[in-house]
Amino acid sequence: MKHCTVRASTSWVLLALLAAGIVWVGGCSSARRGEPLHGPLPVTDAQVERGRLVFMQHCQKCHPGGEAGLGPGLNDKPFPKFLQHFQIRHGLGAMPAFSPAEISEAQLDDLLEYVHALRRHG
Amino acid sequence: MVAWGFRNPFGLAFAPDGRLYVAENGYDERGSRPVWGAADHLWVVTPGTWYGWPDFSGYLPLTREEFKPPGKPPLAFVLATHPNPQPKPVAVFGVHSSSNGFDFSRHPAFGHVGQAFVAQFGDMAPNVGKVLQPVGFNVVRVDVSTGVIEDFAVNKGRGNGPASWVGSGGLERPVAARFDPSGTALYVVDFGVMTMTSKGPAPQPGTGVL
Repeated sequence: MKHCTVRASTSWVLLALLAAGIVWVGGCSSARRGEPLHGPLPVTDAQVERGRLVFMQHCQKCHPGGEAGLGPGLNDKPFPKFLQHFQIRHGLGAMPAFSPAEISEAQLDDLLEYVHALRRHG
Repeated sequence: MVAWGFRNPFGLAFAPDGRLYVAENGYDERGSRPVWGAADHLWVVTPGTWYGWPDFSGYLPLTREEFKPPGKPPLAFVLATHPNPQPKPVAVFGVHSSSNGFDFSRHPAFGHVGQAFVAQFGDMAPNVGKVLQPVGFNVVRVDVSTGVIEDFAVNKGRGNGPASWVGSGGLERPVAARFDPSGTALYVVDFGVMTMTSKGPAPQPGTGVL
């Protein structure tokens, strides 16, 4: 009986951690799917600017302005960079994979900086 | 003939430096050769050049996996040989945005001199292919030296879309944009309300505005 009690409380702890994690991640990003409230993103950082150029060449057509279009929106998704990196390199469903020949690792780093700046801008 | 190989070169304008630009509506997912995920493009025109139709979308060949409609075989080239190496577009617009009439700013009083202001008529989904959220229905500004596209005139709301869909006032389907002779005002022709029905496009008379 003591063994069962320990396993039950561990499950509750894990569930609570998961719920807290979802709330934390969700709270750290914008939920807007429409136009940013404060106008376009002002770009002053060189890396973000480089990332924007990569975005315009490869991503804009399906995720215009980071909003949904042919593809889903990016601005309202709280995904961390390592997951986005994986998806860009491997594709997902209708989204193609982008090889290092198309988007180099340095360009991909820049791109993710831009995507996250866009998301923070709201 | 000045240039060829455009699928639908809807918009045409000369930049302040004298170069000719074209806004091209890209392939749709319909007809005898449906293409998935093909963007609209802004091109700078070099006389005598072929711009890729029917085998390229922007810089990319249609044989790429990403252009294959779901559930259909991969596309093959139509032409046996291509007249010249594929040029690179100046800018890549949203798929199905219907990037149409545009003009260049020439006067510092308006700002953004040398940049293009492009009216995006908006998607005609689902007839041209499905989208997750409306694409276009606004006026965008393009820096032709970098290809960066930014919203210029757009409806605020729960998501991008025409005013009738968002439930607010504002743009429906901008189809053309032109500066007045002084260069200080941009006129936008708004086609008005046009929904897509099972019988095709359904424009509503009396809803167009300037």
